[in-house]
Amino acid sequence: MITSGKKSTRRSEEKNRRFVLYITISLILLLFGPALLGGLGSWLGARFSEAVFSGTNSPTEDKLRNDIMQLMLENSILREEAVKADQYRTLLGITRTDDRDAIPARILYRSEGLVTGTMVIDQGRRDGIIDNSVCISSEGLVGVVSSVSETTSEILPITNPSVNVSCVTWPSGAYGILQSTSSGELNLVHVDLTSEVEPGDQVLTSRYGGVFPDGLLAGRIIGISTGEAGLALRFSVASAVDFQSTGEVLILLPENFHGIDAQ
Amino acid sequence: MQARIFVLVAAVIIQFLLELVAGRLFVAPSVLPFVLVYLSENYEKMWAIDGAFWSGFCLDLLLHQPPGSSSLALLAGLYAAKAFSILSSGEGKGYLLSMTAIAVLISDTVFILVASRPLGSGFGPGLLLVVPRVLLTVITGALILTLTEWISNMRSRIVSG
Repeated sequence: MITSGKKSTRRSEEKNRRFVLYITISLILLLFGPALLGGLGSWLGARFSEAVFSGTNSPTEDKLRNDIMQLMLENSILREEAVKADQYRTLLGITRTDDRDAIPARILYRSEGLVTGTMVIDQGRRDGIIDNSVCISSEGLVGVVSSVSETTSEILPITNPSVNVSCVTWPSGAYGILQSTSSGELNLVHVDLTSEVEPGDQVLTSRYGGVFPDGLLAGRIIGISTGEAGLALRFSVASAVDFQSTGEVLILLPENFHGIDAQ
Repeated sequence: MQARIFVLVAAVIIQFLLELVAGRLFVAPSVLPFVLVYLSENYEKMWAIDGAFWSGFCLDLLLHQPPGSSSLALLAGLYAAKAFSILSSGEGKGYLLSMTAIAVLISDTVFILVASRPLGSGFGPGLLLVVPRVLLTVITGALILTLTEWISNMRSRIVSG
């Protein structure tokens, strides 16, 4: 009887001890579980890759394999650099052919509504940016500086309905106003009825606007908008710039304005 | 012992499937506390504690939940059910289902509190979902018990006279 009682007490103690132990392990898992499991997973992954991929006993082969991987990595970095260099070369070409002062900038973020929203760049008044400066990328016309703070500036893209750009088509030579609808679709409006604009024609900025320097590529004609009677033609335009992927831009300061010293 | 392990593994798999299907629609019945309470009442209690920890851990891994949260919740639920059984006395289906209801209530509440990030931020109207979960579990438990009872009655030899 006494033995049975002792056994029962011992079992109860063991049960309580185990209960506390599991509660403690659960709490530890709860606090450090992701780190512990992540560490265990990476350790297992490393052992697995060692067992499967590094099965050669030849040090020369291992070295060559490592060299190939390193070269592939370097190659991808160089490809990216080459694309960037191409963009910079284009932008540099623009600064050489235009008299206006140019300031390179990087897009920090875009506000809500990617098409009709605004973009914020990392250059501001301190760097010499002023209102109505023109923003371009290596692909073409991006927009116009709408407001400037000390260290950043806001760009209104040409897809914003409040931006109107005087443009000319090339090679057909028809003049019109490039404007956007509220949904971000670009149209070249007020084009002469007698003009012979074809899909694929380039849309360039004209010298009549006053804000934008002439000859900047804004887009391409993709079709004529039908179903609207009038004395002028209306063409659909595809923007030259991919606003979602543009990262580096050039700010062209207004004509006859030369840097921060002139302010 | 093997049968118990089989039952617990099956319970984990069923709970996992229920959470994936019924949990997405509304709430899934919490089968695991019911099975654990049943095992702790009918077999060794120590075994149920082991089962609560490991089944909770497996469920956490399967459902991509913070590891340790289900284990802690099931252990807390089991402890609450045990406390209830000490305070009250009874036996039979109703008693088992009452213990299950207490276990589910506590384990789900603990789970919501410890699995939310930041810790404890789950305290709010979301906790009300525990109520239909408890009801569903009790209904499911009652159905399972009735069904097993019916099957065992069918198999047993009827002695009369």
